[in-house]
Amino acid sequence: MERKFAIGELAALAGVSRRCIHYYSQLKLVPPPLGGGRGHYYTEAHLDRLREIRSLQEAGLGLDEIGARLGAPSERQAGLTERGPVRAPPAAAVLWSRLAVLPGLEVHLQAGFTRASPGRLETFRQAVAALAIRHLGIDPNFPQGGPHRDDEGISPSPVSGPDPEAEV
Amino acid sequence: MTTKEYPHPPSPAPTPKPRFDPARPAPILVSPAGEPVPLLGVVMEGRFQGCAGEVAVRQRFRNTEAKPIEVTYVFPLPDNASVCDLVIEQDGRVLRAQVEERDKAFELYDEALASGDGAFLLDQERPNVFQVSVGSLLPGSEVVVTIRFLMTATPTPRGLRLMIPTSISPRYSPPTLSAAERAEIDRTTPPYAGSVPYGLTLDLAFEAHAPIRVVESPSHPLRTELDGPRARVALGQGMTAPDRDLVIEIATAEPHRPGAVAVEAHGRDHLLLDLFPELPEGERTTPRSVAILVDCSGSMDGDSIDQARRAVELCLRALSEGDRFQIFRFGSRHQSLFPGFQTFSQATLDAAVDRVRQMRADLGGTEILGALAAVFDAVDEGHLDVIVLTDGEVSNEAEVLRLVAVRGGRCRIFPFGIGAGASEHLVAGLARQGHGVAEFIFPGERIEPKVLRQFGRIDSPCLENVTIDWGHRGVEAAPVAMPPVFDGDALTIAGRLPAGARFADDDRVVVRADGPTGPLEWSVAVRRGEGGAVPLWWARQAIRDHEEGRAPRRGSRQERGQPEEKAVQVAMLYGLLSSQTSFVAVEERAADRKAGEPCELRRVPVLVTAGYGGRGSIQAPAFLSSAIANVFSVQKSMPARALGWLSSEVCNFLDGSASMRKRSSPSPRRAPQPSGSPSEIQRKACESFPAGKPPARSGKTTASPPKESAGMPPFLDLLATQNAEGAFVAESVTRQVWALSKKRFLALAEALQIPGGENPLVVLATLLGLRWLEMLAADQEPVWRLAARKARAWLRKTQATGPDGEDLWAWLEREVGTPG
Repeated sequence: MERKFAIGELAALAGVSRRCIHYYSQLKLVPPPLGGGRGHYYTEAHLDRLREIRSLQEAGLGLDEIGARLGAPSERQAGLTERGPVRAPPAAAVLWSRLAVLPGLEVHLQAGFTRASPGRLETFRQAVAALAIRHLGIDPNFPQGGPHRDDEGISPSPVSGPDPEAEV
Repeated sequence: MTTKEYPHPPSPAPTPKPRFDPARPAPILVSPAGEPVPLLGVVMEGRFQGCAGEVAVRQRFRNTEAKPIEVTYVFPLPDNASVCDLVIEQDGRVLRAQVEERDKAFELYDEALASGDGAFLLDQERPNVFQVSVGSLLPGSEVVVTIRFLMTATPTPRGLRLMIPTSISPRYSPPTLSAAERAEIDRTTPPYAGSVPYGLTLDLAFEAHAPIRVVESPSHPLRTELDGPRARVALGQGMTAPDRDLVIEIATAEPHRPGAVAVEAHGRDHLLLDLFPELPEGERTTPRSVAILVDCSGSMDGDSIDQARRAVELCLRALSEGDRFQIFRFGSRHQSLFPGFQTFSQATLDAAVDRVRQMRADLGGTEILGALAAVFDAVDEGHLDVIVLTDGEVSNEAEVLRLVAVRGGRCRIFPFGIGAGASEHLVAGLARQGHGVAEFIFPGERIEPKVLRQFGRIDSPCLENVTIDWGHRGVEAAPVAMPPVFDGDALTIAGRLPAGARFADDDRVVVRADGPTGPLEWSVAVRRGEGGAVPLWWARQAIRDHEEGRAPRRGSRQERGQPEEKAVQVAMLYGLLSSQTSFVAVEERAADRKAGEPCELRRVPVLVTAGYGGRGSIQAPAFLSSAIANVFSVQKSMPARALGWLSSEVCNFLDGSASMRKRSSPSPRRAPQPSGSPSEIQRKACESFPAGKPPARSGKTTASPPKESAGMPPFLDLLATQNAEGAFVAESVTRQVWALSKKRFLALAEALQIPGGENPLVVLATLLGLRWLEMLAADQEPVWRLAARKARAWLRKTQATGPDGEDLWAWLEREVGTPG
């Protein structure tokens, strides 16, 4: 018989907060609880999905990217509630992070190959930028976003949601 | 001075009923994701008595969609807010939330949502960041959520300063955070938008113990009504965009009066002590070491780095010969501007100023942790005073504060919060853990008085063995660690007596300390008071002590219990929101009113703080959604309704003061102007809130347009001319204030006798400058005391005299009299 978890148990097993489970469920990253109404519950499938999200987060993906990778929510939801757990994405999935160097120039780094600190990444970025300016003639003052911003670098941006400057 | 009367409508126009048309969702209320924004507006109402205030934040939500929704809204509150009430008004019914343990509260909320009932949850997500969740808001329905909290304003030399944040800047998260921590940050970071369709209105009432002289704000144009010790304050243009801190400065005739108020609650007596100690002036004998730490991360770009550069330059000029200094700048990495500590002289000052002026906000992220650790490593001998200039937009505040608590033992930290939305929790927390005091500099504010006040503190004699004699045994003090005592600054501390003990009216509380010249003592008489503020203030401090790991060491380990448990117990008993407790309310619905389908999540988008990361300047207007302006521009002929929605008590208070004096608030330099005409914005403010409360108008209100601050002290220009030795190189400034012609100035300088051969023009300027400070800026003495001391010492060194060896001061008095 399938194990049933209350939200508190699931939170403890998955290492996230209750609120986070609810939030992911609302974002449709995790299927809704089963049972409906008071006494609703979660299953191993929910736990698997939460662990999957966590491993993708540890690999440096943001929630938007995780959502895209996990696919259309309604189909997934149906898959879980009617046909059991959804399959995880292929284990061979390769994760890349982008490091914006100059306008029009990015360096792509594959997760797991580098453990550079933000400071060393910045040094690396400056060195590449200097090479690109010298050899490729890129204009660093081209007005398409500058290289110095808080939310750049290899780690995912702390700012989720749309571009703050986006017009309504 | 320009004033403008706002038209008072003959009768309040009815608030339009929410028109719900599922086929045609309201076109203007749209988030960047393309969904209607359910938050319609926020109103802040508050009453302050002295520094203590009770504020209610009212948020109005409406579901204009065809399906049930869950709304989450992340918003900031002051760092010292004690959130004590959550009330929900819906369809004429009032629901009061209760405090529960955080997890239990969420389970109640979650179950209610799953059952199709209504549910309301208020969480403290970070010490100064909160999230309200309104669950299963049915199509077409509307709800007003009122959050009530107590807060304290900060006493200043002139009166008090009130700071209420309205925006949350994006924060820098170090890559070392765990996946779980990162998940929580994702959950509690609101979506950002360039403009939002909701605004903020304000109504604050102040009552001081002395007549209020002036109310001003570096952040917003205000409308102010003054009546002796009372003031009513609203926004000059009715409504504003929530994109910057609300900062209000109030100057009173008599700034401070000590007090000790005792109030009984929950069977225990509580006491709140406010003391403003004056310390004897002591000459500092040993040179000091000062490290200046400047945040050069991307978020500081624009206004903030500009202010930081000016502040650092002033810090440098405030040093004395023989002092040692070093400057660090930090972002993703940190670097020092010099190979080691420099000894202060004109040459090192010039070199440092040169480098400081070249500083840019170009160091990426905000790794303040590593930078502070480097400073602590640099403490070679004795004590170090650390000045930190930052906007504090990081998400690892707890780790930073822990580092200071563990490694900062030989340092005192004096932080400056820079910008329109500096993280009060981090900046004030650095001061709290670092035994210093925080100052906040809003864009456009004068930096000099704040920098000089900080240096006054750094120079203040150190007190040792500071103790409080409460007159009773077993008092639980909060905060548990005695805060530092500085000349003229408030010392605020609360105590809770053991069960059965009670303060009598004639009791006295005595603070004792060892000063440089002997023992010192301050004694304050206790008076009995009423109301919840004193017990709640104690409880909030006690909870914070537990949250920040400063639990009192009383009784056995078993009796003390776990800090988290104690914090929960205190929060539950006093009904307070905390990191471990939340407010929750459930509206059980009849079967036919239950939400029949799962509700969709709608996260309310928020504005990025004005000036953040160089995104525009704080001097630029604060924009509400341009869509609103469009909608209301076609209704310009409608009469503008008065700013209203005041609480009934406040209305009574206003009605009872017929003789209220009209006075407009001198707004500061370059105060921002919200967009749209006043009438448009006021109309929107009225639209945003439910009908039922008449717009209160008693007497006439005046609005002042932004203009140069009338209160800018001119003596600061003089202080800015002081050189490393202490002389004022200020011929033109002093000639101007003493109304001396060039010729007369030269003649006076020639008459001086200066054995050391110093420049007589500089000696005369210093002399005139000092005399001017003593005569005309006496009330600002704490600000210029340090500079004057340096100037006097330099003058003594020159051994200058009047003609024929006459005493310098007597000669000056005879020759120039008083400033022109």
